[in-house]
Amino acid sequence: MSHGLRQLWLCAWLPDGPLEAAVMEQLAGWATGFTPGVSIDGYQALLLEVRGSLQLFGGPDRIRTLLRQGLHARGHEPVISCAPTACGSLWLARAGIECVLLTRDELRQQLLPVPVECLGWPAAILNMLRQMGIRTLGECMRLPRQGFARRFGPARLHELDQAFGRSPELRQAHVVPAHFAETLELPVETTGVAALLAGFERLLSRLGACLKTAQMSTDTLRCQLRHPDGSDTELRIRLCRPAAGTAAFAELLRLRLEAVVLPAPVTLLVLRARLSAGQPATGSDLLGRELQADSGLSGLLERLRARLGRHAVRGLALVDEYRPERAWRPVSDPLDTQRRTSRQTLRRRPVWILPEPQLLQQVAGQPLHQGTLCLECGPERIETGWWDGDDIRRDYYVARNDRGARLWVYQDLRGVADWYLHGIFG
Amino acid sequence: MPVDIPGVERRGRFAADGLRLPSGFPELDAMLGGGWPTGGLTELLIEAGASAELGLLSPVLSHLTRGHAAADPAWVMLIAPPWIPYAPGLCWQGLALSRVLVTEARQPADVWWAMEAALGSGACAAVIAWAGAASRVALQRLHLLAGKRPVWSVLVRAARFRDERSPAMLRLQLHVQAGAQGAVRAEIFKNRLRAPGTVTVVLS
Repeated sequence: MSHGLRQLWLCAWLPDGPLEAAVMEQLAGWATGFTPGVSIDGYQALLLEVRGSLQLFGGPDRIRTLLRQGLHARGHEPVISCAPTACGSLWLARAGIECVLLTRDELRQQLLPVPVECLGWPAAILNMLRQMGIRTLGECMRLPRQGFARRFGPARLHELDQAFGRSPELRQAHVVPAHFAETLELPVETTGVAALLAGFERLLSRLGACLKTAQMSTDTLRCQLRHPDGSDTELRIRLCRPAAGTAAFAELLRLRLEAVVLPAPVTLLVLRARLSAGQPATGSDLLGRELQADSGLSGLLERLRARLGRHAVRGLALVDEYRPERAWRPVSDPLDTQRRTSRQTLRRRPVWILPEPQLLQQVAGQPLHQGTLCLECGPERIETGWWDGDDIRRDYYVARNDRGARLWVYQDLRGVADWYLHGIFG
Repeated sequence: MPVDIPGVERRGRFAADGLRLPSGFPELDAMLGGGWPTGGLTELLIEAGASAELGLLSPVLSHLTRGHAAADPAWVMLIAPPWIPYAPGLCWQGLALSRVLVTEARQPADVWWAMEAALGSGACAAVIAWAGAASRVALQRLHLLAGKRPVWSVLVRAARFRDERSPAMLRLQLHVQAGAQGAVRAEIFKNRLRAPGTVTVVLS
């Protein structure tokens, strides 16, 4: 491999004038699909370092074709040239020369006749050059280096050296932002789920393209539905783990849209997502095991949560605590099975607990619940919690009523010795 | 050679194909033909005021959530339980809490939807739902879904739904014995594979 092939730059020059920064950034973001080394020059040119992408795309000509097609589809008519230096490719493209040059010698031959107006230098310098009778880059190069640097500044000389590949060149690569935000104006105000979903699907396909080109993933979507009075209805959709595709989001969004009650018609859709680097591995490993073994379960959790609410699905865990109502807690992320194990000793406990202890009626000091209660087992004294002001002093019993149901009841030993139902043995 | 038609079941096919989950009660296993059937809907009818269903089901749930030599720990989903499942009590029954999921569903339609979603995902080894009145279509859909995968799907309903027609492959009613300690009479009144019958088991 020749020395000149260490870098290869594609420059897409857009003759339709300097564009808005936002437009250029969008184009640069799209161009990162070809290579991570994309930079923007003067809001009028995209520079792509494609040396590492040749194999994947099948040569510089193929990338050039794809780049041209893509820009054409976005309404631009680019001049694309390919050269071993960024400056060189840019100047060639500015001069309207479309070529694929792979070596520095070829580049030199092509650069020499390029007019000095194509260098993008300030008008004062161009005027001086013109007065000296210098019209092309070749004539420029014939000037003594010392005198050129003194007259036009060392920076210009350095630029010339960079263009011909005599000195190295650094360009700041365009960085894809870590968030995604796009809006879509609806043609008519609507509350129809199908129309809203169709709109969001368009936004999701843009998000999908963004994730693909940037090799990123996301786990949270914020979908805003704007009403005519300017207020928003916001739906937040979370996945159990980041996803690189948007298929799961579309399904969850449909569930949410079917459940939500919109206060007014919707005029505008906004989709926001926070992106994180990397994409989850898919497929199977060397032993043929699926890399995402529980994808069915996380998918199920997401679906249930999208329709029933974020807290509708939970796991259970023990808490080291003597007060029965505090001896457990819900777990919001049940897929994380590496949970802290409890040191709670196993005691006989009911499988059901009431949200609040239920006061029982009494007849002659005997508690009642669907019949008189016969105390089978107990008492188990639980007296604790004095340190946080929520102390309890109770005698727990296993009781059985006339129907044969076994209940967990207690007598409150503080005060009037009322009886309460606290749990049910199933 | 008999032809397999999707959605049409032949008598005797489940006995050969369907995985059986030993219930933990030998008398009940003998009656069920080896254990609780999977790959079809089981309907458990309970009387108001005396629930014993979780005590009856917990040996299997414990077995599934803990795993054993032949199977990894599996997930168990409880949908719309009537009260809060009490973690220390489930532990006492032997369940591994890290494999238990609880889904709350307030609307009756959500209960059916959640059970369909859980059965359809194939992510849970057991799906137990507490439900009320059902349309015949909802039951039929569940039954077909349950037949597609080896999931133990149990629908717990009130005894007043006993006279409704149901496509469930196994239907039984629990009678809690008022006198005896923890004794529950399981009346199997529909069993697609075997004869109906009644058996008494003693819960721990």
